[in-house]
Amino acid sequence: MNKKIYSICGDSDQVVDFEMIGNDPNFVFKNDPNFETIVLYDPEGNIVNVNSWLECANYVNGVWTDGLYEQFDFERMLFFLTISSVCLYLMFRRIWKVRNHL
Amino acid sequence: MNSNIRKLIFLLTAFLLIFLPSFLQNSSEEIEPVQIDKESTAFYQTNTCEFTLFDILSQNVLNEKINILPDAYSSVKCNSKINGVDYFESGIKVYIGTNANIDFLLQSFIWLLLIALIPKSKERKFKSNNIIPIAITVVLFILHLRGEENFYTSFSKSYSNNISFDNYFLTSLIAALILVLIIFDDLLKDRFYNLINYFPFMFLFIGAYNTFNLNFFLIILVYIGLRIFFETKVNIKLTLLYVSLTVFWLMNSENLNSYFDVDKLKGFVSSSQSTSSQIFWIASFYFAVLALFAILEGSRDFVNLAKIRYNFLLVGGLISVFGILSAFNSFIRFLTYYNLGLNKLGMRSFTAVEGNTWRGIAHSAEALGEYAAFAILYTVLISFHYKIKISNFEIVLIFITLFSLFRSNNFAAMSSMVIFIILFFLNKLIKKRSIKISVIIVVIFSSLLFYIKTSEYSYEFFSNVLLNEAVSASIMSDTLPGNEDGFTAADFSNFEIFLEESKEESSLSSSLYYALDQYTNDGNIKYLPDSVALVSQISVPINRSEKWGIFIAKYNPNFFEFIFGTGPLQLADYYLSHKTKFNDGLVLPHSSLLDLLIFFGIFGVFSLLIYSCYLIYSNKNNVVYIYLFLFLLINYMKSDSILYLSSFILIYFTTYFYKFSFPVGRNLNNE
Repeated sequence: MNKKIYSICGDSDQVVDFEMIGNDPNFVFKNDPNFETIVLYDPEGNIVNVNSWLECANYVNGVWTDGLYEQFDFERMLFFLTISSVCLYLMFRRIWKVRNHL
Repeated sequence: MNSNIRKLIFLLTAFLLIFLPSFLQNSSEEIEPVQIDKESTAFYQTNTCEFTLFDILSQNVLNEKINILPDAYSSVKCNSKINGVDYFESGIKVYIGTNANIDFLLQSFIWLLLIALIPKSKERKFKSNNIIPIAITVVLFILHLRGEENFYTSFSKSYSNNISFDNYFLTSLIAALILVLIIFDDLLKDRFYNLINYFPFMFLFIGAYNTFNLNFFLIILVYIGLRIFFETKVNIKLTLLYVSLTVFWLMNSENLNSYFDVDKLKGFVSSSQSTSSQIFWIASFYFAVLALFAILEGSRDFVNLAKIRYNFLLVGGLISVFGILSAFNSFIRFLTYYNLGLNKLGMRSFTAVEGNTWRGIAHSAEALGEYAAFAILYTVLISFHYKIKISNFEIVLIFITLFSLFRSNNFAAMSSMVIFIILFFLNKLIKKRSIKISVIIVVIFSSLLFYIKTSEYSYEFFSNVLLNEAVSASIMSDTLPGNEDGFTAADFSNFEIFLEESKEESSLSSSLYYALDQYTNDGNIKYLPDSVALVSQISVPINRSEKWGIFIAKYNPNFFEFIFGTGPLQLADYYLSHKTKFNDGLVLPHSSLLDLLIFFGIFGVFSLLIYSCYLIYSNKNNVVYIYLFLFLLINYMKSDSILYLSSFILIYFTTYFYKFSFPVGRNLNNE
């Protein structure tokens, strides 16, 4: 099972057949009174409350998260990494040119 | 630096770049990858974005059931990881995450490394600095991303064309482009004059980005073109003509955010009819052609025909080897696709497909055959005309290239290559001009006579077949009533029925309506065949009746579009504006001349034909040039090769080949 599911939904021994759930349009998730409701978010900002571990696992298996799990902007990191590379390259090139002129 | 150390550094860097995404990603520590089969499909479907390509390699390297495919919709986090596995009876599809931002950086660096391998020559000093060319390239790049929104939304989750600092998708791409151009500029200065000798490698390293409708080599050509534009005097008349045509193309087209699936043409054709996209492709074409012209002109004293021969053969050999390896192993197939920048994944099997053709890693069997035949023809002509000795290794490469040629089953390329080689040797053996001409006339007439005598079809069939195919491809043919056997007027070549409606009311394309009218109503000139019938007769022996027929059914220009076209690399209007039975899938015109007709209209086609005739006439004594140029003209006439950047550069190179009249280059340092 995906570690992201355990991280967000908690531990469980249940084995989930996501394909079966996905293919069954009439599938209804049963509420688990012992399961503490978790709020999940999708990338568009939509919100859903899940009331069972199975329901939670199914949503997290898609694109939903609890908003805390690895919310790291990789594209932002990539941007700063590339900009830093440009600056470093220009700097080293400058040093190289100065050295060669000396 | 010692050349061995340089080679070692190159090999290490290349290895790192190819496997870098896998190395950089964290694999799951809790679960171990397993062999991919029917039973483990669910395991990989549950554990997406957990294992890298490298993780599954050891247990699946010889797994014949898997087919590794790129998942272009991946996030940065899941790049190079297994993002999905689907089981099918025919095999298991394994999707490897590829992200647009990472692709742009990584693929560009692989190809920059390739350029760095080109030996240095005399330094090309640029008078102006590179800030303005870089800035304009970036602006064109943004125009492209904005103009082809539909293409990119299908590829990238985080695609956004908003120009803001918060849009890290765009800003990181711009930063990457600037980095690539700055590094390229440094590499270019010392290698400018030597680029020409290594251009055959563009047939191996195609340079098409995995998740972009862009080609790396087009970007750098545009950049070179811009550098040239700002420091040399460009041909004012031609530039003004192009600007006038641009104004016409833009005014004549509707600003439609349409989507044309570019498929194997990725990187060298527009996917949209939007104005931004049009501006990008029109400008890019101009600067790329300018760059090619400058490279060819500037490199005249540096061209090394023997080196080009070696590179043609080496590339021919490598294409065959990678094609075979890719057919046998899915990992190699994926790696060749990604690292060589192929337009589409190589063939999965070694078995020939439709028409008994095998394309290996090339985009089409036709293009593979053309390249292989050209490489061999070039080798023979250069070697015997300039008496340049062929090494044993080159002989081995000729045989490997011949293998690709035979497997591609491109009969036209094969036969034209053989004919030109025979003509070349006949020309060498027979000194008397009158005998030469007599031999050529006898060969042409006896071939024609043989063909006509052995053909099982009538003259009438040959004349009608093109229009039959065109009419069958039109949607109007479905509305025709049939006889008791289900045959319609189209089957009996009763074309008058299609002209009963006026041109405006008819659902036929304007070109089909014109062709039918010309064929049925217009009086023929005595002793001359009808022009439509003549094209039809030419199309039969070269197996182009169906494809050209579909072209006529689809091609629906207005008067001005017919005269001046819709602009370079613009196929969207041709594909989407007129409905036929062939609205889906990439059914290309199968003639570069027809592609040019779409782009530049009849004005452009005639201008190029007249220019070609002029070049042939003025270089009639340069047999090597004539045979190479004619070989490509004939083959391009029946293929869409002009739509591929590498083939476009090949014909550009061949067109100006007459300028390189010496066998071995001069002033080549560090060879």
